[in-house]
Amino acid sequence: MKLVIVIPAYNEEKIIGQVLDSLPQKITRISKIETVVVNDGSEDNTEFEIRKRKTTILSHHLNRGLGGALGTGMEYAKVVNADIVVTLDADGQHDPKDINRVIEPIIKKKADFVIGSRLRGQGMPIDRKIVNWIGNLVTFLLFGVLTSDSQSGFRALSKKALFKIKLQMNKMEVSSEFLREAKRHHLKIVEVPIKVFYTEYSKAKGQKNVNAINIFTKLLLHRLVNLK
Amino acid sequence: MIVTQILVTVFVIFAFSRVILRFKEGKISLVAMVAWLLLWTTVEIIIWEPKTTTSLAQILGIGRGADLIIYGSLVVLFYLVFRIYVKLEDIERQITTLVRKIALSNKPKK
Repeated sequence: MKLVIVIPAYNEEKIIGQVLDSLPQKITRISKIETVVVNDGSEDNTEFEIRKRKTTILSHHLNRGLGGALGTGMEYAKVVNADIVVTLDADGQHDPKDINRVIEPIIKKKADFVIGSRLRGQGMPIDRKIVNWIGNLVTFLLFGVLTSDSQSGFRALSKKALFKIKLQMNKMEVSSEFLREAKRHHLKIVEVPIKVFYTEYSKAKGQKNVNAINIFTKLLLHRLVNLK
Repeated sequence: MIVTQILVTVFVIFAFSRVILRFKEGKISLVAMVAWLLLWTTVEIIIWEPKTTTSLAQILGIGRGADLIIYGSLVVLFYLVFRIYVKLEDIERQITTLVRKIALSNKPKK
């Protein structure tokens, strides 16, 4: 089985190297691991940091946002014939050792879409918990998918999910869109608890709490308009 | 009042000429041209015969003609904002598609 790890990165020069170095070289039952970083129009030395390592890099000339970058990574995964795709954040908040956990349900054919849930694990600050809870509620109300962490960036997709899920949203709304698509195609969704590191860096880099309002407005409009 | 009416009329004539010009250049469709001309004709009627809006307002159960204009304008504005929103989203998506194609066609180096 071939695993493709997709990491969207925007201005992550300080940490992207560490994240890439901490990725597992070998995983049981995975014959080949390929990491692809989508450099989403970074203005700093992110690209330089990536090129120092043996990693595939895809460069967006313009910043398109999280959704745009993930979409590119997934397109690439299709081209290189991935069996499993894992996405994780470039800000170091995820523990690469958890990759084992999120792909397990797919290897065992118990799921097509796995969410690495941060709420089931520990370490999330209270304000994030509240925003996340609202995110989960909105995702449930709009798309009918109830999860404990709808906004998680750590997820795994089976080959089937990779080909079925079509992403249209460019920014952070994409996390909920993944779930909508998974549900629309009747994919089996499973959650596994993951560890999360909330460092000062990842807090500053991640979404601002206020940004949640934008995301929800956008999701609502999309639900109403049902843009193609 | 008469000064306002004349100023508005001059502007409407200007708007008319622009709309027709755009149509001739092929930048807007026939339907769009007719819609815009109708809109400006309505403005012209209202400015010279404000009473027409009052009678129309009363039919619709709104007190004054001026209120009708404001409500009507709000509806039109909301609709236009919505149209622009949809169009913008569409353009954003097209840009992403393009950026993605370029990223994937530049053969990924290892």
